[in-house]
Amino acid sequence: MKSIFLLMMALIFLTGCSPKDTPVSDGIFWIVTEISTSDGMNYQAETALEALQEKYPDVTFKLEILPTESAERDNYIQKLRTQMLAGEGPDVYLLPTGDTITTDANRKTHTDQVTIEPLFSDIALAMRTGVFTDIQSYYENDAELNTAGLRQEVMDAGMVGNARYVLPLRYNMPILLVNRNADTIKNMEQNGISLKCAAAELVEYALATDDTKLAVGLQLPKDTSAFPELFDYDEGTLLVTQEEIADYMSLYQNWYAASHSTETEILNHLEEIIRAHYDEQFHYSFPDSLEELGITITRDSLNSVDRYQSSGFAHWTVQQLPAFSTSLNGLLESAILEQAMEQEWDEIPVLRLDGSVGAEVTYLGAVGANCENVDMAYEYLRLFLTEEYQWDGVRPRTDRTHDNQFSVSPELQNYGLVENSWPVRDKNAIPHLFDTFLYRHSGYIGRTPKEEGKRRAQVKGVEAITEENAVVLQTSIDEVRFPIYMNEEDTLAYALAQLNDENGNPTDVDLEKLAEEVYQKLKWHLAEG
Amino acid sequence: MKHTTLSRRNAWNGVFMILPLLLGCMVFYTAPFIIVLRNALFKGIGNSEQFVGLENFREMMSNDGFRLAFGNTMKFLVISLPLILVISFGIALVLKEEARKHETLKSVLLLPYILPVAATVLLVEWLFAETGVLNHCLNVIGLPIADWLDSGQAFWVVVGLYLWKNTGYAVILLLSGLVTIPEDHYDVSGLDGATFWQQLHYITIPQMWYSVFFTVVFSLINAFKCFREIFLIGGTHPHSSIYMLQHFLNNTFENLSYPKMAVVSVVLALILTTVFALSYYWVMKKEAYKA
Repeated sequence: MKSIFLLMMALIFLTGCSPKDTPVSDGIFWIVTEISTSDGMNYQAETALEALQEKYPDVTFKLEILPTESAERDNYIQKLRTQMLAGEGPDVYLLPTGDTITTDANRKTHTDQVTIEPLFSDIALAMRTGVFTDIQSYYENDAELNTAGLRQEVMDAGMVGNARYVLPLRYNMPILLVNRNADTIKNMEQNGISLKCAAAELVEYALATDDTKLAVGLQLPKDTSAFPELFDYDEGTLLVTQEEIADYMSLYQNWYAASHSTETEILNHLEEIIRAHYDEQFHYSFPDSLEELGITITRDSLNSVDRYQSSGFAHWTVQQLPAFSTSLNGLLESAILEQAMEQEWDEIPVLRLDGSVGAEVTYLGAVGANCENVDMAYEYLRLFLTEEYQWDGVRPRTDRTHDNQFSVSPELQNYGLVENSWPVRDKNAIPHLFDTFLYRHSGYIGRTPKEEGKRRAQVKGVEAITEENAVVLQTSIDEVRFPIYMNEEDTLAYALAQLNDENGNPTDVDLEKLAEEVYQKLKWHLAEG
Repeated sequence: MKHTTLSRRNAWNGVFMILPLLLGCMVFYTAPFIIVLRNALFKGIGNSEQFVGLENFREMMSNDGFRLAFGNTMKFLVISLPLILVISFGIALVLKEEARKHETLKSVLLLPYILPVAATVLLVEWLFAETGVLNHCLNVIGLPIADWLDSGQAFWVVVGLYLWKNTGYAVILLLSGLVTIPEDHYDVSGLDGATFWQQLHYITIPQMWYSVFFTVVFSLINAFKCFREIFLIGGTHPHSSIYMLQHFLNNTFENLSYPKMAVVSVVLALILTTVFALSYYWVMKKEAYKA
């Protein structure tokens, strides 16, 4: 009797394991991805899957979205990694890089950022460890894909030697918007100082001339993206020195001290203006903070069509910044604002510390090393490189031209580019991306009919943007990398955060010791990969 | 003939008795280790798998992370194991007389060993954190304070933690060997004028080799268990002085670097097997001589 009871208990415990807690395998074509905005990569992934399902009706497909809640994700990823090492991993990976995911917010016009630990901490290491399948033979024989239209430097980032393990799908590059009419810029040109130098040199110039506005406009990244190539993965060596890290940290500390209070003042002033603007529109009690309306004022607000149109003051040139650091993500906004403000700015790439042009892959696709049907996996992934998928052809739309305060079509699109980054098929991309931008604004629902009419008239009056508006896209990229992930306390960002207090003043922390720790952590990252 | 049949039957009985354990060991230990050994000779998994021979081992020898972890682990073992043996042997000798009178003493010795890991970590942090008790006392008496857990001193904190936590267990093991030595041997030698050190050298130690061997084995196992406390104190990347092989293994798993994990496992297994084999050979030699 006792043994029967024990046996029953054992069976109950064994069968009680929830299938939801276990990653998928067992003959199913398995695709793993991360959550995205509802009109972004998840929508593309589902659309592509439907196309594949139609072609292969007898195959069971499973699109698995990794959880984002910390404890659940840790547990799930642990199991997934074990499965991968045991030879039962996913067939296809469709993943963003970095540790930040963009998802829908409560209000569709805004998005939220979620911080996660990515499945692969370093894609470049993962390629060399052999967790992906080489698909070069598929790619080079794919005549229909028109690979000539893809940014070659970015696509080459997915190769190790002659093997192609990863298909980069989207990328981003830091750029500097320059107002040539600004006095600072004119002075620099007169003094023979080139703007086409490393961001660090520009910052040093700003600090030397005590030009806080220039310092605010420039940005030193908190991660290692300012450094030239960090690792020689094939030799297993770290290419940056501890002294270089310490020098950068020192520059960052001084830059932050010079720019932080001015930047905070600008953003606070902007918030007051926007709040006053909304107060004028409403005649009833107003929430205490703009955040309750889902409006957050950040640095990006200084290069935003919406913010400029709603306040008239939210722009970096109005705030008298001679230059403004952004990325390809903000290129369209800038091009449209040029028209609206009847100005012209230069867009130049932000150079790394050694003067090279760098970019980062922001979204990728790869075939798992355990995939048994590589043909099908490639057939799925190649869809994301086609014009339709790259140029927002798959992004959902409704006819919003007749929307008004009383009749509103469902909001199907989030603001901005998919994954806040640029398509890797960037030749001739701009007209299509601009078309999305117009669609977004064509259904603008203002606080008053007058405001709506004004916005729509502005949108209709905007000239189409072409490749000529984005000369920066013609720049050759010297190095394209995948962002690396490390535990928060091991990162350069964590070390940089200790250099200044909340008012921006330098602290007395031991900078050399911090640099040594960062250096050691980078060495370990490479050694353990 | 009857004797042979009985011996054979006894032998088969023995085999059947250990068969479940043997099967379990083969399935859960031997087979996985053979797979690990195989994987140490390959790079990649699945479609990307490629035989590379000893290439992974060669790369590991020049891997800075592995060399640091290996060096720290060996340093920790070389320092901690002799220390725990000497200290626990000394305590066991002192307690030998008292053990029979005070049974609860043995239980008290095991208290640090059975203390939960989380409690141990809290205790260590309470004592050795930058704002901990030790720094507070040093500050009060005017001595310089130190970052005990995030500097070179962290190594000695870990050695101290290991000794505090596991000495009691080692004492119990050695004590169980000491109490089996007949008292007559000491009485007779005492009558012959033997000193304490002579009794230790000629009577105690020769009869304690088996106990010492098992104490070494268990102390070695407990030394690797120390990783739990080190991990909770220092995280995945603690100070370089306490970065151990288990940290390296843990982190290479997260990076899906299976060849590195496999190589480290094989190297560790080879070293431990060599150490155990040599120790066992030494003990057997001593026991044979004694016989």
